[in-house]
Amino acid sequence: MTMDERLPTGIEGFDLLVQGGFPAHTVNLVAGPAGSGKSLFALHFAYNGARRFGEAAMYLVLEETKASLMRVMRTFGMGYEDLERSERLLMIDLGELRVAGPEGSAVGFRELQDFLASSLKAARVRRLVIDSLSAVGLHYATSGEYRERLFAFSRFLRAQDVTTVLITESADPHDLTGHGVEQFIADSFVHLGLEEVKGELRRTLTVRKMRFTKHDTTKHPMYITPAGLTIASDEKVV
Amino acid sequence: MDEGSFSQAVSLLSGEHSLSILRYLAPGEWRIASDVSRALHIHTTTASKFLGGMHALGFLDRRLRKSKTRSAFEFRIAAPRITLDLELMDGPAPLREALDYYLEYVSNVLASGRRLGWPGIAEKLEARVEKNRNASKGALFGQVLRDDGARGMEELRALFRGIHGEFLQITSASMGTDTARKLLGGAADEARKGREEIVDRYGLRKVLEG
Repeated sequence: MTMDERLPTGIEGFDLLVQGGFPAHTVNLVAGPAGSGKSLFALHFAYNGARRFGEAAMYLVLEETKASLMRVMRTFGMGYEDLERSERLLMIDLGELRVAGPEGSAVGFRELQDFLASSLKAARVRRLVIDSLSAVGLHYATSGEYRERLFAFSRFLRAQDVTTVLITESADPHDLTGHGVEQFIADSFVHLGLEEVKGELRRTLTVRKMRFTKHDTTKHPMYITPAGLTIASDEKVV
Repeated sequence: MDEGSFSQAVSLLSGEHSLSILRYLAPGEWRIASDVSRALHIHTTTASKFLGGMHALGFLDRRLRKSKTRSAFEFRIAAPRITLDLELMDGPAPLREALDYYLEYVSNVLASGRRLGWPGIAEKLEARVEKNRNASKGALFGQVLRDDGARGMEELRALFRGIHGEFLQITSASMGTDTARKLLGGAADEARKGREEIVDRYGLRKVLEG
């Protein structure tokens, strides 16, 4: 795979906004408040990669449980058993380490890097999802330390033969990301919004940044349908 | 060392020629009883009894020397320093409790392996537990039935040190050493809950830190 190549997400409407998909070997951030569809977005990226585009994917679960994500996949008709058996889609519950570890301990970037250094090559993975940075952030006492480690971690990821999607939650509606620094470190930044309009919640998607790409910058409506996410690429939210 | 072994060691070491024999063996060369007998001008039976007794207590290594005329055991001192550690616990070591702890650790590791979702890990870990299953089971039940104090505890620790080492090897190969240690450490910490005093007092957790 060359630097010019792109990895389509397979999400209806999204790839049109970004010249066909995420640029290969980049680190991409998907951020938004709870319920905005971040995990579903990343599941599409991993699942479609394995199912439709023949690229093995690894989805690291750090916040929810693997069982919960599997349930989401079943809800949206993403049959994964055959992909898991053939090791084309690896759903790894690293939250297991957090539950079992010493009190207060969470998986940090050092542990993640150690894990990935061994596992990415072993599994010949081309697509990686880390769900989520918010869970990793619990490992660090200060934002400064988190930022420093995240910077080193993103350099490590770029040196691997993978294209990564990092998920982070913005707890405050006015903040774009959890720590306010993730978007500067990533190569691309897709923001998912959840807005209340006349008593109804409306989901939106905005590509705020994507290196090496002439991308759309409009805020688009995003829908969750029985088949998963759909971006109305020809509509804009005003 | 349990009380029985300690008494035997004290009895052997208090013999008239004990220190001379140990000093003779100190350079670490392999020697048979007649070598000792000739060098120190003592009876071969005296030398032979001492060497055999010290070997049984674990202070001397032993191997068979074959020759055309006859075979004989030769001995070498295991370390140039002899230390006697006496367990001064009340009553026998709590082998059943220790066994419960270690079995729960194994059970936790297998469960974590399954939940983690890394393909093949759970199967490899289970295969390790299955491997040599009868010998392990025999050893475990043997310890519990004999209930033979400090030595039994030491053997139990050695058995699970080996199992833990293989668990670490299996998990490290896929997910890196740090993650593997964290996974196994978590399983050991979970198993410790509710039996902290015994685990800490008998150093059971240390076996799972390699």
